[in-house]
Amino acid sequence: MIDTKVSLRYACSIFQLAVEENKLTAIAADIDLINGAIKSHKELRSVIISPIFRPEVKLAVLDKIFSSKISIETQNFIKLVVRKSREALLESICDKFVVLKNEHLGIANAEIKSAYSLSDVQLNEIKEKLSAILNKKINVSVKIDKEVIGGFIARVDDTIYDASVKHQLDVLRKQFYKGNSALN
Amino acid sequence: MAEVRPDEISAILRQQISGFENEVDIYDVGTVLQVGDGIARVYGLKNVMASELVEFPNDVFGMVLNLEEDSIGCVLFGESKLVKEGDTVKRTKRVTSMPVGEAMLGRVITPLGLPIDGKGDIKTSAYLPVERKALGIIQRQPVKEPLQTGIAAVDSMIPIGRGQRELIIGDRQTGKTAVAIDAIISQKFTHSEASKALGINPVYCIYVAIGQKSSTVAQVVAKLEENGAMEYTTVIAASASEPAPLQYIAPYSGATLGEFFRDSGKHALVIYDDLSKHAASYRELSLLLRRPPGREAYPGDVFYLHSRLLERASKLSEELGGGSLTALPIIETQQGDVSAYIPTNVISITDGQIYLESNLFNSGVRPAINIGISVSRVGGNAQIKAMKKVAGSLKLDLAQFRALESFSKFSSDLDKATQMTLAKGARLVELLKQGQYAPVPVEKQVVSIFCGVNSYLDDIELRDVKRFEKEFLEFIEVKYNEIYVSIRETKDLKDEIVAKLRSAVEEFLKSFKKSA
Repeated sequence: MIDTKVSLRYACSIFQLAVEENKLTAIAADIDLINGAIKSHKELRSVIISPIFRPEVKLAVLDKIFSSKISIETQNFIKLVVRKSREALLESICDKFVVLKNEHLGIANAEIKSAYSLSDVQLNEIKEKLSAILNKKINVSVKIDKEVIGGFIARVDDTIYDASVKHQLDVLRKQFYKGNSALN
Repeated sequence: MAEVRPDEISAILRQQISGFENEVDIYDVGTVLQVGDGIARVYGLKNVMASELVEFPNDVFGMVLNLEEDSIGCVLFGESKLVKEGDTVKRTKRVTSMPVGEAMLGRVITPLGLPIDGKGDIKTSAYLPVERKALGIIQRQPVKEPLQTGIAAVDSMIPIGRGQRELIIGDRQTGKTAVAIDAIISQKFTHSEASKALGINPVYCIYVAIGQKSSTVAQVVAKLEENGAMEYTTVIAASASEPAPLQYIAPYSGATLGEFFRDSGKHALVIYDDLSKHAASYRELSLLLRRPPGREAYPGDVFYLHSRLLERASKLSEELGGGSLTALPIIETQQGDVSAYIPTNVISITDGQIYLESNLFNSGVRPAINIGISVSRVGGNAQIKAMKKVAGSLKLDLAQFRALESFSKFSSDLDKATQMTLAKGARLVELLKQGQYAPVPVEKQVVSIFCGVNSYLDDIELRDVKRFEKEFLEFIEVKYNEIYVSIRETKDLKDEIVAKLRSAVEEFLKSFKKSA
């Protein structure tokens, strides 16, 4: 996946600028705006990705939409990206920026899957526990998934905290198979 | 599947349920991007180690081989059709390892240590990583104890020592596996009380079958069981239908199990049958992982593949227990071409080779060993004194015979000396022929070669030589058993014994009848 390497570099550049000039919140908000706009509007995305339109045209479009709503640094950044012919990666650059921002601010996004809806008290407890383990501020998003059967599975980035009944049953099943192996 | 007893189920369930609230598993995960041909590309798993074991859904395991900037290349130890794109991959946090222990003896297992002989679970205490660095120089000592293979031709002229690597190389159907199996069966003596009294340590055997037909492996296991050799042998089977990654790690698993015995001061023998198929499966893996192909499409590190495997066979120094791991790798050549890529690689790594030839095999010389080009670089250090005394002239006589062999067609036109050399040589070749699964103990080999080398057989018909040997050995056992006992216990051929032997041969010759 070549695009992630490239996007990361662009995202790093605007991120470092934001940190240096102490404008992280403002620029983060701009990036979120651009990200949201591209993700929710198919036509905007097709225009940006399409190789048919000339860079000046794309720049004009982006300028018209965003220039009044974003800071000057972000505007320059968009100009840079278009000039380097990497506008197709704008969405991915914004995603990478969010990752960098979260890492810098010590925020982690946790996705919690449980079979039944959790009460606020329970949710807060999970949040606090995860915060303590990871030493970061946790943003929680909950999903109901009957497959879990009971308990919950919390996923933060690439680490899973599995306190579900399904997992225990899986472990049980593996124990039965230990004596005889038909390696799949 | 083994019967699960009713109380086992409820006991386990009770245990699981009571421990239920307290168990929260924390594991790292990744997502499968692409899967096919036994390879999976995974995104995520940022903290995974190289060669770590990872778990896919449906009980499929994989090993991480390629660590790239934003994805990981894993090989699957199972069917790739059980893994889909988007599946979650879990770290097991352990480098690919296998269970080791004495409980492995007598079992048939997969390269990951799981039993496939239907005899139930194997309870072992330790897990050792499959890939381990070989020992350094200080930890080793030179090879000095013999490993008796029970094959007269090998033990006399191409002796193998404990801790040596001896390559068995030849075309297909020349008896390579037979030599290896005979070596295993001949270790039965080392597990007896008699050998303990003589100060000979037991040798545990490991037979690694790589890419072979399952029917062949089954036959081997049956033969070993029949000869009582299974009790000290482990068979690691990665047969032809197993995925290439399993065939790739099979020899390393064998080496790991062997190292367990070696490091606890015991002796082990590991047989890799065969490394040509091992190289082929590694080539398959590397090409699918998009590693650049080299000569014959093998990847660039195919030498390292075998050198790190064979370097693990060694003799430990006394401070570390004096254990040893002997390796007998097997390579199959195509039409006798020993200068192909893989054979030359392995020949340069091992401490000698036993070369088996098709034309020798077809003309009835079995084991079909070509003594001229077979060599053991350890040589005399791995032989008992008695054998050294008789084998010295054996090699010379056979070499002279070979040089003159092409003249044997004109036998009547040759001078007496040449005729005698030819006669003696032919009888020696006949003497060294041996049946399968019939290893000969070293004292009997010494006596038999003594007769041949000292020209006692020259007046016997060629077709009677084997019968003479058999009957003479029985005669000695019945009437002069002290000869065998002396050779066994002193490991030497003392002058009085030689004198006794000479008189015994002369006595026997008088009564030996020619066959009709």
